[in-house]
Amino acid sequence: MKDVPRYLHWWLIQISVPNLVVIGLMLLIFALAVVLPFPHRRPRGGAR
Amino acid sequence: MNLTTKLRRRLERDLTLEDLLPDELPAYVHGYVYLFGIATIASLVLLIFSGVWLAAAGPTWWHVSTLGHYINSIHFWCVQAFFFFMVLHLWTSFFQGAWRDGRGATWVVGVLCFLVGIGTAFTGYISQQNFDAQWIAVQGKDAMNAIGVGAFFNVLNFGQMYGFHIVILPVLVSALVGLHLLLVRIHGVVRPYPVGVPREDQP
Repeated sequence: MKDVPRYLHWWLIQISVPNLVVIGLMLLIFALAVVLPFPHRRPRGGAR
Repeated sequence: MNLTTKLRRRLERDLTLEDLLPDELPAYVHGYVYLFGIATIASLVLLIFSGVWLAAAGPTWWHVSTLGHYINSIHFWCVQAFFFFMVLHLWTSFFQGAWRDGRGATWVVGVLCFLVGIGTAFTGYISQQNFDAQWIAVQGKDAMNAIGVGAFFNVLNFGQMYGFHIVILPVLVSALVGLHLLLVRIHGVVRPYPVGVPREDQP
């Protein structure tokens, strides 16, 4: 209760800055997970 | 044929050891988005371990000692991780249409995990025994009364909320997550949408 977060208010939407940061992080990690190539082992024998 | 025989034959048919403990996964599972589900389960395991520790030692320990604060914080941050990764897993499953090809039950059980998880987190916030907990309980009681469950689910009753938080709801979440995993193992991971195929021609 002692540390009240800052709130952003736009039209009907009211959200605390920490919640907004978490949502932003989720979107960022989701985008990175979709875009980044997943490392995988080469098949045995060295041929690709 | 009696019920036991029927059940055994069904399990033998649908739950082979190859399905339960696969050593190979389809090629399309090689992607970071497929790690969100296991990250959620890892958070849940750590949540349960830290929760058992907290329940065994009690609030006079977790509010006072340094180790108590640490384990309490682990429990708190695992909740954040649990919901963080569960929502990312939900987005992944949604955009892949993970309910396709007979996987409707898997999707519904996942939704139930999410809903019961919210209830578990809520009762946990009330069980902290600090000013936050009192504030949340006093605010929450009006919502419970408004939907008519206040007489059976009294958020101002610490004993009842603590019981829900450490026994009833965690057992329910664990059972649902177990069933979700079992269904994933039985049906496998859904195939991605075919690229360049018109919607009406897709399987």
